[in-house]
Amino acid sequence: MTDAPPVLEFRAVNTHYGPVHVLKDVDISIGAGQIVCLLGGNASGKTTTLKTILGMVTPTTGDVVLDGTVISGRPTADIVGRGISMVPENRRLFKRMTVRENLEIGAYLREGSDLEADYERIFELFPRVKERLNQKAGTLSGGEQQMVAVGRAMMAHPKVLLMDEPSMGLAPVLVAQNFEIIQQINEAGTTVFVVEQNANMALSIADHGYVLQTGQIVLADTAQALLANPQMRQAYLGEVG
Amino acid sequence: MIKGELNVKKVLRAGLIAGVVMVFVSAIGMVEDFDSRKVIDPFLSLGFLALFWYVPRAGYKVGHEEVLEGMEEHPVSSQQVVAGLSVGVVGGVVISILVVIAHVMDLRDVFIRLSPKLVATLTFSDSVAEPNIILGIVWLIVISAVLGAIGGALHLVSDRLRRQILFAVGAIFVVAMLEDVISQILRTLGLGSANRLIYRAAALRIVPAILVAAAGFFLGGRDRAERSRIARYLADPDPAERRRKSLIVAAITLAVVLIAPWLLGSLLSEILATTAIFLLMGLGLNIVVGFAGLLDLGYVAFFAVGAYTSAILTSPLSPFFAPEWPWWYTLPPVILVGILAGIFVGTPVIRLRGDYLAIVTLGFGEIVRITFLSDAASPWFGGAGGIRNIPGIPLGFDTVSGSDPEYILYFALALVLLAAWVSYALLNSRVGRAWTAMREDESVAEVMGIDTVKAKLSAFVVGAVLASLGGALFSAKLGSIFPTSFELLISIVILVVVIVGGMGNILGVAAGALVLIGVLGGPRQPGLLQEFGEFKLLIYGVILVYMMLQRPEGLIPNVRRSRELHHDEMNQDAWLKAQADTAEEPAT
Amino acid sequence: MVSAAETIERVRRSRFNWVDMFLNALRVGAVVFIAVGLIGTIIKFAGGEGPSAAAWRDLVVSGLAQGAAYGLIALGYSMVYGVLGFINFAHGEVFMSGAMTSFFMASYFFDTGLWISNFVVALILVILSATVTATIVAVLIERIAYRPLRNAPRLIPLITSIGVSFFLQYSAAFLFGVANKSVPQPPAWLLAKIDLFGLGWLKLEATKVLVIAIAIVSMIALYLFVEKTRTGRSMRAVAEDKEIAALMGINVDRTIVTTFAVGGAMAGIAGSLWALLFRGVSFDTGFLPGIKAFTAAVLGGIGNLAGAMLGGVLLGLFEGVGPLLILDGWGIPGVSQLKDVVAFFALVLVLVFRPTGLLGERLSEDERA
Repeated sequence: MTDAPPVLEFRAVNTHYGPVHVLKDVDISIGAGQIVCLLGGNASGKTTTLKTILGMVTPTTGDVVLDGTVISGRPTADIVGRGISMVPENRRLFKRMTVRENLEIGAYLREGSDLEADYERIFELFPRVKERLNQKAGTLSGGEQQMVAVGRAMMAHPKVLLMDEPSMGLAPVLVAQNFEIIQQINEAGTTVFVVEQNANMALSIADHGYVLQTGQIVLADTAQALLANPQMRQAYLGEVG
Repeated sequence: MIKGELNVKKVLRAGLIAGVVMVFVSAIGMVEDFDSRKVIDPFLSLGFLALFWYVPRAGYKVGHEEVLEGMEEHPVSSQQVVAGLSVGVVGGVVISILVVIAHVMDLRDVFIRLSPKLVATLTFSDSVAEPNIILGIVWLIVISAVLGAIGGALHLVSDRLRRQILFAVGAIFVVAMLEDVISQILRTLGLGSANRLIYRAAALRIVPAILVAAAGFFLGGRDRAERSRIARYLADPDPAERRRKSLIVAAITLAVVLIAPWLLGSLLSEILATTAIFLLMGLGLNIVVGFAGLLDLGYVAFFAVGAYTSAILTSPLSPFFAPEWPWWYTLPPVILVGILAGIFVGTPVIRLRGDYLAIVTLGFGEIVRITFLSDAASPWFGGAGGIRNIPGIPLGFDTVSGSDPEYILYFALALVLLAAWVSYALLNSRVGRAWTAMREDESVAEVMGIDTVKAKLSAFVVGAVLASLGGALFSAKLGSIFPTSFELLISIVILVVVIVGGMGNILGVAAGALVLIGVLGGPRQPGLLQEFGEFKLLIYGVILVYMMLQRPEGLIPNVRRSRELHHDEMNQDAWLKAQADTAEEPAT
Repeated sequence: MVSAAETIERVRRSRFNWVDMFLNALRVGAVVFIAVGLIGTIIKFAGGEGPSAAAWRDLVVSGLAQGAAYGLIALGYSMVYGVLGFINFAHGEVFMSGAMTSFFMASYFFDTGLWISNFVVALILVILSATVTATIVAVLIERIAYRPLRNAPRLIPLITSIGVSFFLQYSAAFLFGVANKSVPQPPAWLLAKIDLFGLGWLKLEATKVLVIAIAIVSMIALYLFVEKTRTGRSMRAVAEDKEIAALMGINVDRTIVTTFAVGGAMAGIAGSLWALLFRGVSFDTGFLPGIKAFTAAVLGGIGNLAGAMLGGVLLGLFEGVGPLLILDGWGIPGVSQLKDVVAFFALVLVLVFRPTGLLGERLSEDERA
C-alpha cells in the first residue's frame, strides 16, 4: 500500500474494555513522512486506537510496532520516549502553568538539551504563542490553546505526531489554519497520524486514510481514492443521495 | 517460578520481610509478653507463635504464582519447598542479627523492649545472665527454615488437604485461646473436673490438642458447600425467603446469647455487655456510613451527649442540675438530645464531599469532648472529674448497675434488637432506597427527585439517637463517666467494626463486634484475650489497613456494595468466562 | 413553558432553604461570638486588666512559630491531596517520626557532648536525620499502603490512612515507650530573648526566631524546587493532570513517590522544630498537629502550596492568640485548655463556609468536582 517502510503499524490488534470488544483485528500501516488519517464517528474506537499506541490500553492480541520494535505492553513513558507525541482531544494543556512551562514540559524527556532552537521554530509556526509566553495557559482562547498544544507536542521532537480530533471545538477558519500547520510540520519531517471526524479536512491533507466503524477498519486507501469513493461520499463526506 | 530456577530476588525479599516482622514483634514486646501464656502445654507458647507466625505464610507466598489471565498455572515442584526453606533461613538470619545486636549493645534508650530477657527468650535460654547465643541462633534459623519449608510445602498438597491442615491448626489455636470461655461453661454445667483433663495452666494439654487438631482436620475436609451450610441457607435468591431465614438464624442466635451470661459467669458477661453496647453503636454508625455512605468520624459525640444527659438527670452529684430522675425518665430527653445533636451536626455537613465530611465530624467529636473536659464548662459537666454516683436502672425489685453485667447485657441486647429492627425497616423503606441511590450517584439521585437533604439528615438523626441511647445505658453501667471515655479512639474503633463486618450488613456488624470487641476488647475495655489487650490498638490499625487492601467489603459482604467495588474485576472475570465459552461477542 | 432544568433548579432552591437558614444562622452566630469576645477583650485591656502588651507579643511570636511548623506539615497534606485526592491521615505520624528522631539524636548528642560544645552542628545533624527518617517513613507508607489503592474510590485510601496512623502511633508507643520524652535544653543563648531588629521593645525569644527562620528557609527551598526544577515541574504536571503528564514522558508513579517524599521531608523538618520548641515528644505527638495542619491546608486552599504555608501561619496565630483574644473577652475561665477547640472550630468553619480555602483549591483534573 505504501512504498516507504512503515514507521508505525498496527498488526491485527484487538482490544477489550472488560467484556466489551472495542478494536477488532485492526491493521494500520503508517509510512515515514506521511500524513495518515483515521476517520470515524463517535464510539468507533478512534480514541482507543490512540490510547493503544500510547500504551494506555494494552492489546489483548496483536502488536503495535514502532520502527520494527514492538511497543504494545510497554509503559506510556517508555513509548513516549521512543518518539511518539500526542496532541490530545480538547487540548488538555496544563492550565495552571504558563505557556512557556507547558512547552518546557513537552520537552521533559529532552531537558538538558538546547531548547532555544525548538522555541524559535514554534514561534515561527505560531507567532501568537510567543506573545503569550508568560501567561497562564488556562487564559488563552481555544485556538491559541490548540497552538500551544501542538507546540508542546513538537517540543519532544517526535518521530510520529498523533493528533486527536484537532478540529474539535474550533471555528472553521481556525480549523483550516490548523490543518495548514499540520502540513507544515509534516513537510519538516514529522510523520503525522490524525484521528478525525471531519473527514473532508483530514483527507484534504492526508496521504492515506483509514475508516473505523465500531472497532473495525472498513475502508483503507489513499486519500484521493477515499475522496472519490461513493460510499465515503455518502457516509462521511456529506453528499446527499 | 520457573522450574529449575530459584528466584533469588523474590526469596530474599520475602525472607527480609519475614525477618522484619519477627524483629518488629520482638521489639514491641509481644514475644516477651505473650511468652507466659502457653497454647499447648508445655512447649508451644503464644510468644513463640507471635514470633514465627508469618514465616510459613512467607514461605507459602513465595511459591505462589498469581494466576494471570491466560497464563497456565506453573506446575508444583520441590522448588517451592526449597524456596520456602530459603525464605525461612533469611528470616532466621535477620532475627538472629537482632539477637546479637541486642545482646552486645544496650539499645534500651531507644528500643525499650530489647532487654537481656528478650534475648534469653529468643534464644530459648534458661538463664538471662548467660544466654546460649550460638545455640539460640542455630535454633532460630532452623525453626524458621522448617516453618518456611512447611509453608512452601503447602503448595505440594491438594487444596483440600491444605484447608484441612489450616483448619487443624486454627482449631488448636481457637480452643486454646478460648480456654476462659470453655472452662467457664464447663464449670457452670457442672463438668468442672473436665477442665483439668483438657487444660493445664490455661493451655491445651497435648492429648486434647491432638484431638482438637483431628476434629479441625475433619471439619476442614468436608465439602465447601457443607461447611458453609449456614451461609448457603441464608443466600436464598428470594429476598423474602432470605429475610425469613435471616430472622430465624437471628432468633436462634438471640436465644443462645440470652442464656450465655448464665453459662459464662460475670467476668465474661461483662465482656459480652461491652460488646453489646459497641454493637449498638456499630449498628447506629452502620446506618450513617453503611447505608447513607456518610463517613462520620465523630460518632462518639452522640454517645457522649446521651451519656451526659442521662448522667446529669440521674446523679445526685450532678453539678448544675440534679433532679435525680430514675433512669427510665431520662430516655425521652436522651432521645431528644440525640435528635438535636444529629440535626446540629448533620446540617452543616450536608453539602460537603466525603472526606471533608469525615474531618468535620471528627472536629465536632473533638469539640464535644474538649468542651466536656474543660474547666469552663465544668459547672455543668463536671470537667475532668466527670459526673459520679450515677445510679443504675431501677427495676422495682432491684437496681441494675455495672455490678450486674448479665442484666446490663439484656438491656443492651434490647437496644441492639431495636437498632436492628430500625435498620431493617429503614433499609427497605423509601429512605433506604434514597440512601442507596445517593450512594451510587448523588447528583443523579437529586435530579430524580430524591430529597438528599432529608435523607442525609435522617441518617444522622437515627444514628445519633441510637448512640445516645447507648450512652444512657453506658452511664448507668459505669456509675460514673469521664470525658476521657469519649475520645476519637472510640469513633474509630466503631468504624473498624462496621468496616470489618461489611458496611451496610447488619449481621456483619454483629460478627465484627463479636470478633473485635469481644475478642480484642474495646479501646479501654478488656476483651476475651487479655494478653492481646495491650496491643489491641496496634492490631486494630493493622486490621484496618489489611481489610482495605484486601476486601473493602468486610467479613460478610453486602452483595450490592461488593458489586460496586469489584466492578473492574467482575468485568474481567466476565470476559474470561466469555473467552472460555468462545461465544460470539455482540456487536457494540 | 418552563424548562426541565429551570424546574429542577427551583425545586433545589426551595429545598435547601432551611439548610441555608441554618448555615446563615451559624455564620451570624460565629461573627457575633467573635465580635463580642473581641470587644470584651478590648474593654479589659482598656481597663488595665488582661494580659500585658509583652504577653501579647509573646503570644503572637509563639503563634507564628507554631504556625510555621503547621505550615510545613500542611504542605505534605496539600501535596498529597492535590495529586491523589485523599487526606493522608498518617501524615501526622510522619511528622511524629521526625520529632522522635530529633529527640533520639538530640539526646545522643547531649550525652556525647556535641549538643553543648557545638550546638549548631548538632542541630543541623538533628534536623537532617529527622528529615531523612520522615521521608523514608512517608515513602514506605505510600509503597505499602497506598499504591495498591491507586484506583480505588477515594474514601478507601482515607480509611486506610487512618489504619496506618493507628499502626504507626502504637508502634512508636511500644517500640519506644509511652512516656513523654524530654528533649535536652538548648544552650542558654538560644533560650534568651534577643533584640532582633534593634528596636527596644521587640525582644523575641531566640528559639522561636530560629524556628521561624528555618521554616522560612525550608519553604523557600521548596518553592524553588517546585517552580524551577524539572522534577518540580513534573510534580506540578502530575498534580494537575496525570494522564497528560504521562503523555509527556513523565513517570507518574515515581513522581507520586517524590511528592510523598518531599511532603515527608517538610514534615520531618517540622518535627525537629517542634522538638526544639516544645521539648517534649511522645507517640501521640502527631495526632493534634496533624489535624490542625490539615485544617491549615484547607484554610489556605487544598492543593495550593502557598496556601498551605499561609494557612499554617494563620492557624498558628489564631490558635495562639484567639483564646485570649476572643474567649477571654467572654469571661470564660481556663482558656488555654480551649486552644484545641479554637483550632477545631476553625476547621469546621472553614470547611463549612469556605471549603475552597483562602487562596483557592488546586486539584487535579479528575478530582475537580
